[in-house]
Amino acid sequence: MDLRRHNFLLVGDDAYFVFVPRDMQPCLVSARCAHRGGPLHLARFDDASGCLVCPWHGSRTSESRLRSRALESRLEGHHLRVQVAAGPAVPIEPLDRQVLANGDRLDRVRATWNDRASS
Amino acid sequence: MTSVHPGQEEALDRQLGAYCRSRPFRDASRPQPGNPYRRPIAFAGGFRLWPEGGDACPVGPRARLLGHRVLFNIYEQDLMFLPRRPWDGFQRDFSSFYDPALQRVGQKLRNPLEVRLFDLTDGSDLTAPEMWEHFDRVIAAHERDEGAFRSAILGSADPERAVRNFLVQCAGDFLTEASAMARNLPGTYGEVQSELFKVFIDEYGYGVHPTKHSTLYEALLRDVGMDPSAHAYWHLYLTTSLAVHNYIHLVSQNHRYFFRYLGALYYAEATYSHTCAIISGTIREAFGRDVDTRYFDEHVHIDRHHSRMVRDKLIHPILAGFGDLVVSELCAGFDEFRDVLETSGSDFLEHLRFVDAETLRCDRDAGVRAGSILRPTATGALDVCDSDVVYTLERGDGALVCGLDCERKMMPGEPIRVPGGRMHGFAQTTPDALVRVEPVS
Repeated sequence: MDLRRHNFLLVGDDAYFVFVPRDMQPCLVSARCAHRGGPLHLARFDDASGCLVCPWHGSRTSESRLRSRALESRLEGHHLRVQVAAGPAVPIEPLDRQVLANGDRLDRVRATWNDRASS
Repeated sequence: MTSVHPGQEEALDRQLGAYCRSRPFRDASRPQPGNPYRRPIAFAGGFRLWPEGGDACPVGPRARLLGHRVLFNIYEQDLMFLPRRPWDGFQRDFSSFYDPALQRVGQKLRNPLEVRLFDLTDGSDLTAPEMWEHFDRVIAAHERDEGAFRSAILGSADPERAVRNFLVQCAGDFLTEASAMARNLPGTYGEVQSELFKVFIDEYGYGVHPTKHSTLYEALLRDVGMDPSAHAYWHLYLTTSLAVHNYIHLVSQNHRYFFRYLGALYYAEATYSHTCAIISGTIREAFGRDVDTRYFDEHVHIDRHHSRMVRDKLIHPILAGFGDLVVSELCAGFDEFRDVLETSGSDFLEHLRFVDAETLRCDRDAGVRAGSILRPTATGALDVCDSDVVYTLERGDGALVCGLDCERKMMPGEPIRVPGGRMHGFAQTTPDALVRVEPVS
């Protein structure tokens, strides 16, 4: 995934989004809240507790829990190499969608790549 | 709401008669399992809701039952019903239920019926902090309820039958759950609208049919040997159960009552978790631990969230925006819905005692057999009388019916007394059956 253009990944019916924790190391996590399947990419990040707060019922998911459930991935420059367990017939589609969970952190990460490219 | 003007009464009663005699609602139209469009009102013999003297005249038990049936149908002609599969004559039933001319008659009757059947209050003059104190006090009292419902069901002559009859009373709402609420979703009113939508999507199971609340209720009905199709037990709904469903339709359909609706919604969400825990436990005690109580268990969980969401995300922002302008309406909705729910709960338990009375005890050989589905008795909609009556079988064979699986074979010449206001009916077992009905002097 080219993180300069994409922040969301559909694997068949499963949705993932690029989550940027406070250490600014992007990873790919499920967009479904473990409580009732609420849209976690539209969650608000609560700095005080370090949790995503689901917009549906206010369920909290900690950064560490999100990381532990992240897809296996490796960041190479602005590319995120992701290992996905899916059959050959399952469509995989990187997208650019509205993601609120990161605040402006993904923009800040992208800005560092742009700075490096221009220097 | 506006009252009926003098001189309008006769015209309204004429329209009421026309509505009740229409194909979906006439008496010959017996409920058919799987057919949501046939809803007999039991108009035979007629009834007047607006006698001379207008709204000042009290509404008797029979007029109240039939009036609520009419009002319920008027509201539900706005909702979409499809059967699982069509039958011969489906198109005619479908078209006549959604006939625009019939709907127009219904819409003319709707507001006068709402005025006649509901005594809406003017609200209170509490301040917002006093309102919250009042809400907290009522909710805390509700949570101290040790379960009169549980004792009544488990202490009844037949707890399984008692549970089934309770499920009948809820079916009118739970099988179309949140349909009335949906009337408040369109439009534009800021963040509160999106917050209400979140409650709504829980009710509808996030678009995943097996998790839709009504689907969970259907599963429970099937599990206890009942028909899960919409209004399969239409003819058994008590007046007070219909009043609960109609109240929510009333405050949702009339948008000027939006704040009242929010008050009612808060009462429902804040108390239902506790209520459902009692109901779920009672059903398991009656039917065993394996019975499918997911519907009620789901509400034990999700209504804790909804209670908080309605308080913090709906009512607090509304108060912040509109202040004291809406406090009396919020209070009115909260208190009125509590009243209709409490009246309905105590009336159901009263009906249960009537059913359990020695003279109405079921012949258990004719009761539920494993794997059987309880069908509505071959009678039209049940009815009530304004005062006590005595039934006596004159000839043929017949039974007195007062609920699901609540029939008693009548013996020739044996008088059976039915209190005024209690729902009952007579089912002919042989075509020549004839029953004499006499008022008790």
